[in-house]
Amino acid sequence: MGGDELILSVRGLGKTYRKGLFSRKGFEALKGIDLDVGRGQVFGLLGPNGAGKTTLVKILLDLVRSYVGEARIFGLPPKVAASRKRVGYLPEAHRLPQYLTGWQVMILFGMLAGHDRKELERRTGPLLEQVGMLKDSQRKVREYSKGMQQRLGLVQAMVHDPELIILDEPTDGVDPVGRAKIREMVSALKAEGKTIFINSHLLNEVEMVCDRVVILDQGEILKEGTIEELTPRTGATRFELRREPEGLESLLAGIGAGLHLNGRSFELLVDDAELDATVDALRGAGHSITGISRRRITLEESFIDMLKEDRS
Amino acid sequence: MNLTTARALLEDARQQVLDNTVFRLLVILSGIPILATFLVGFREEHISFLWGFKTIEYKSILDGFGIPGNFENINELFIQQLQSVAVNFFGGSIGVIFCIAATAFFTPRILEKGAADTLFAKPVSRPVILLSRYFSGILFIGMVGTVLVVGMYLGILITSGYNDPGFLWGVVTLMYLFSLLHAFSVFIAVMTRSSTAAILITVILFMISGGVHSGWMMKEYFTAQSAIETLRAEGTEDEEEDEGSHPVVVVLLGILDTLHYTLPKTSDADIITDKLRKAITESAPQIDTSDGDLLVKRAPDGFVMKEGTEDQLEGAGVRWIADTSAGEADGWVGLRRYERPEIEEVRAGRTRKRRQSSRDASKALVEELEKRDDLEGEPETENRNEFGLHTLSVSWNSEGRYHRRIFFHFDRWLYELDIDLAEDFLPEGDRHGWRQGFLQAGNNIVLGQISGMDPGTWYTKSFTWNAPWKFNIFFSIGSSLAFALLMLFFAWLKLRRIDF
Repeated sequence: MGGDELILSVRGLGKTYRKGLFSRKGFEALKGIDLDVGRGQVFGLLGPNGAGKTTLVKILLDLVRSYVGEARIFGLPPKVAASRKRVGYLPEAHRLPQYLTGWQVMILFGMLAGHDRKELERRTGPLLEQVGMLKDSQRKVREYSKGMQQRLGLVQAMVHDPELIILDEPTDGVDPVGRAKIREMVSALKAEGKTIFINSHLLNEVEMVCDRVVILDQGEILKEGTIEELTPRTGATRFELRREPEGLESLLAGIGAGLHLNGRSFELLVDDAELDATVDALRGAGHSITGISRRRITLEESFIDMLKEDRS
Repeated sequence: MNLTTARALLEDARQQVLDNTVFRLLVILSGIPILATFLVGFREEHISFLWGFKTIEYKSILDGFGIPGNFENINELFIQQLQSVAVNFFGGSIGVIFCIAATAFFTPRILEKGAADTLFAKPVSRPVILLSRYFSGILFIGMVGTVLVVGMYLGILITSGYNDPGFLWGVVTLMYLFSLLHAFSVFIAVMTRSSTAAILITVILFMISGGVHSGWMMKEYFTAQSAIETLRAEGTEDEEEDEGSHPVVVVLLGILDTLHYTLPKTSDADIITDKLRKAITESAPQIDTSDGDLLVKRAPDGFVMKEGTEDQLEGAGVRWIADTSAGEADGWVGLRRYERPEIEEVRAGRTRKRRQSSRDASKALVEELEKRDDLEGEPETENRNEFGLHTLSVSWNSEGRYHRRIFFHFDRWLYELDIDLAEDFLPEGDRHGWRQGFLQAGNNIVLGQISGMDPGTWYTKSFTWNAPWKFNIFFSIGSSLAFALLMLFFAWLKLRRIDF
């Protein structure tokens, strides 16, 4: 669930892409999705290729029509153009007008969102500076590298100071330094109280910046929750020893379960009382312990497990 | 759409046009005729190169082509030919094809994956974005056309001293012509999302509409000519029974009609330019009958039309009176027409019917005059060919006045032009030149729209602002714009259903 004020909500959202003019068959991209995003959240939408992530975003932005169910942005249906006034959007594999300069792109898209030119002129410089594009802003877009176009695409989504920013694969084609910069920007936007909706394949990126995540597969929501909820502790504890242990199984017999040895470290499912017992047993046998950590499942593992489970 | 959005789209259109390589090329090519108008001056007596560095007399050029005679205002003829080549051929044909090619990608490009997502996600409705692409194309040719036409206008004004503001209409008609084709191009672009398809199919439409127009024009020309032949042969030995056309021909002609009325009438744009230009540079004609059979452009020199007689052509006659304080007492000229009555004549023992000719009418007048006793001397009959107009005139003097009645017939009409002058009003030696100036057939008095004309000239003459609907300029513009609107409507229907 989202925050107090709903910025975006969908109910029973379904979309089927028909094949041919008269065919009743088609590809079901979304199968009755329910989703709410509250103000100020950084929301991640995850899913494999063809999961329906981009279709969901495009329905919200009126780029895809003829769907079933209900979709609302700021309480308005997508077909109402005004619903998009407070939205900034960076599409996946976007293509900006090649005949314009970077600066002109910012002004054009800001004006198309209904903003005054003078106000946009004031905002454009600092935004381009933020992504290191100011010095190239008078060059035509066609002269830009892919990374530069991506950075320009990102700031064009923010030029009109939107309340909701939808980013579809924002770090696509951006180098590691650029990715860190984008993460910084997302954090800054979150601090400003903006609502951010990120659609991405890069799970560690999402894990780093998102508050809530939805995992989508084959047009259905598999799971929704906070990062904490989606990456639970596994119960396993990892022990690292100074030297490779011998006869560990007999040493730890009757303590915990699921012993998994890997060189000088091993994992064991133990509770708090069993943890003490394990330490005592190891120390008693003369082992030197160099590290102990409670292990969490990663978002990637959680994601893959869920997909495997869903498809089996 | 608010003003900010409109300004944004306009600015975007302008940038797109200015960035276009073909646009730049066309502007550079436009410089050639513009430069020519600045370097070559068509003065009244001669052609001047490089502001008088070298001059050539018109006579030597005409002699070189074996054209005898001396033409008045020949510089106008040269200038108008230059304007016509530049605007109608360079702008209206070659230029339009270039512009189709240069602007065809405007719409497909915004529908490409990535570009569409960015643009259509903005709070601007799809029809507005579609129209902005459409008007970008119009802006494109508007800018090229303005450079070409205004540049040439200024060149001709400065170097030739010839002011022809009507030529500026060329920009509007170029934009009009392109607006028809570009609407179709936008429609194809939305349907196929392909620039190549938009270019090819639009150029094909341009050619087809030109071909259909030519075919339809020929059909109408021969239909009109055939109707006149029938009228002329009516009651004579040449009269033939109408056997009707073969059904296949009827179907083919029906298809031709349908295509003509449906497709944009792109070929009319040149003629519309010419008519608009004349509307500015030439005063309204004295007489222009709704059936297109008679056009009298100017009043006789020194005469003005008498009020209340404008509509009397088929009654008492239209009358011009001397533009003097004495007015009608100094002189008047009257023109009336009536349907040529059928008369019977016996020739070689056979009675046959035919329509009255100007010769019959002049004979009847002479017989009537011979019965009168107030004539000073005998009436004189003269058979003349006035610049292609065959006339028979009878002149006489009575009661201190000079009279002349000129008969000429054309198709179903017989015309009587009466001249009545006080003997001391116009010296006898000047009367012939004065009369000729008024009669100039095909120039001042234009009879009928078909005989002696090639189909193109006939169509140009027939195609007027107040002609019957099929030859009416308003109908041509209206039906063509309706086609363009329909194409934009279909494009919108398709666009609103697209899932990007």
